[in-house]
Amino acid sequence: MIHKKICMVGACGVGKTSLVRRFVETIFDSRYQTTIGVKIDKKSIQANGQDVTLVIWDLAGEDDLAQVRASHLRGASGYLLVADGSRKSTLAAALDLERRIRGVLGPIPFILLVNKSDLTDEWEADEALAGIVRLGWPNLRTSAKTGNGVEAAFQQLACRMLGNPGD
Amino acid sequence: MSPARWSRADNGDTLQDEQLSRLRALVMGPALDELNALRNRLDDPTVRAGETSQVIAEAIALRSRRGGELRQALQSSIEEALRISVQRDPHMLANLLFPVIGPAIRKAVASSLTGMLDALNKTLEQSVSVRAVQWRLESWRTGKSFGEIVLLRSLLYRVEQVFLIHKETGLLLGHEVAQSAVVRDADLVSGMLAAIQDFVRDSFAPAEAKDLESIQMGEFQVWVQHGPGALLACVVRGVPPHELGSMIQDRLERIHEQMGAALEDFRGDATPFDAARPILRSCLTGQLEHARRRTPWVLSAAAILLVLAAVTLGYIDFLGQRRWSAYLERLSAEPGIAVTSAQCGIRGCTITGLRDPLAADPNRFLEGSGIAPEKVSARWEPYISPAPQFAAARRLDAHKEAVELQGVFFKTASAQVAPEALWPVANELHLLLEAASAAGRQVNVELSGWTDASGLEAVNAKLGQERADRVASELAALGIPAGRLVSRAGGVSKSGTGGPKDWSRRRVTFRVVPAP
Repeated sequence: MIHKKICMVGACGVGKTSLVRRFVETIFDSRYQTTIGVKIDKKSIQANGQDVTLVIWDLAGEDDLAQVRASHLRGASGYLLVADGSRKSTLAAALDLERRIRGVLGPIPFILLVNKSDLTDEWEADEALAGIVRLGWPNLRTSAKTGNGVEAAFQQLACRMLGNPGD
Repeated sequence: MSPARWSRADNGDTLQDEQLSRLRALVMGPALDELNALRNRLDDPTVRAGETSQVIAEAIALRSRRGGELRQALQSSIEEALRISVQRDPHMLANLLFPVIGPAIRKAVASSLTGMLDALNKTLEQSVSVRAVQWRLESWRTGKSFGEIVLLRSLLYRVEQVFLIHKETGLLLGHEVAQSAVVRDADLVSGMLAAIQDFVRDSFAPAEAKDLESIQMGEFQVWVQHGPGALLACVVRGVPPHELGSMIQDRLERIHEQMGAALEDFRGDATPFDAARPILRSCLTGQLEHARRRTPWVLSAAAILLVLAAVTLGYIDFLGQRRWSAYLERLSAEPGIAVTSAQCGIRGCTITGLRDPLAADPNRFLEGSGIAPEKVSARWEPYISPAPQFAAARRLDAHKEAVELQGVFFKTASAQVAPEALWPVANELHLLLEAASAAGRQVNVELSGWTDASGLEAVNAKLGQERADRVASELAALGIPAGRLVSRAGGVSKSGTGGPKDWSRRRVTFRVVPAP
């Protein structure tokens, strides 16, 4: 059984923890995040025909990007970069985060998740997203509320980490 | 010398050089080319370096064999090189030293601990408490030093879980659990442990980058040892001894030794680390609880036995004292016996006192008293008891003596006796019977008739009987109860100093005997 460490990163309030809660059952309380800045969960899935256990480090989202702990990122095989589709500023934050993480971990697989896709009335991310798509970033629209796109996000990241980005 | 002459001479020299060169080429031929090649080899540093590199290893080996000068010459350069290397990347040297530095430090620490133990011994020797006494007893019993026992008894722990965690990713490489321990998801616990490490390092010690070594909460402790590729975390219940840290460190070193390559190449597949499972299992040690309880059990059993023995001894002593008192009571109640001192202990009993010779034998009372006669040593001084029964007995004795001194004498071949010759005898017999009755005793008087040695034997026997019968009947006539008199033939008397016809042999004698 392969184990892979992945991280959930993104600005505050974009719904990282809600996405994880959609995906796994956990034994840790969310208080961990506020105390030591991270909460860890896991989920076993099948990707590329093999069993893989994702150990998910859900990092506390902080408005001050400098606060994201590099030490928590260390050893990660991939990450999910989460933004809030109803807040343009979170996409800008995601751009900045990706640059910072590339600086620490080098180019590792990641997927941009534009979350809260259920809030169609308040959606304001299309324009910014179009710019990001031009950068060639893989991206998905997700909704932690409806569960839309959540499984697919983890699944695709797992495939990318196992060396098959086309899946 | 003029300048013109110099110039001419210069021109002449140049010409001479060219001629000489030509001459040299003619004379030396191909040898000149070789000479030039040699000069090139010596002048060109690149060529020289290449050539030196081919022999340098052998040269160093040869030089080293000749003495220590090379080492001295190289020392400062090597030191400087090491210093620069450490400055550039301290981790490289740290990783190199990791497998050896642990044992070296442990050795040093162990020797200093031994010293500490001695000091502890001295301090504890002065302390007094119930526990200290128990430990001292145990130390005496087991032959271990007191300090060792104190440490042993104060420590009680169990390693319940052990996690081998990949340092870089925080992913779990191996996990072993003791029986009955509560286990949450090991993958998550391992990740969280790694995260907490990061948290502590980032929050409190960013400059020195110290590693977190233990986490304590209630009766649980997590002991973490760090290696270059992995950490080993032990979840311990209770109070572990200091040596546990060294033990964990040792196991971690062995894991690095055996699977250093696997740790470096780890890409999420923990299967190669199954080989480390025996090492991990060996971390699940502990000071077991029942081992600690055994001693108090033995101690309490010994205490119970002691109490039982004391109670038994006390009871035996109490019984002995009771028997002794009963014996003394009986002795005191006995007339003619006066106890002046008596004592009885474990070693035996002694008794001293006064005893009338007529009184009962004190040893007779020991029979059936439960006291062994050989345990009693008695010293009795004789005395005359004023008790009435003894006075009467003594009177009876006197009269008995008087009666037995009496004798009645006869003529040759005669059994005739004058009645008045018997009056003194009758008188004595009266007094005897009176004294006997006063002393409450029944006595008979045996009369024996004797003859001298003359005459026929058959006649003599008959004569003796006749003499006794005669005296008895005369005494009866004088008022002595006939039932008290028993007559018999005594035979030929051997008393007297005269010849066969000695008069003193013809007689009747008296003996007082208890009535049947």
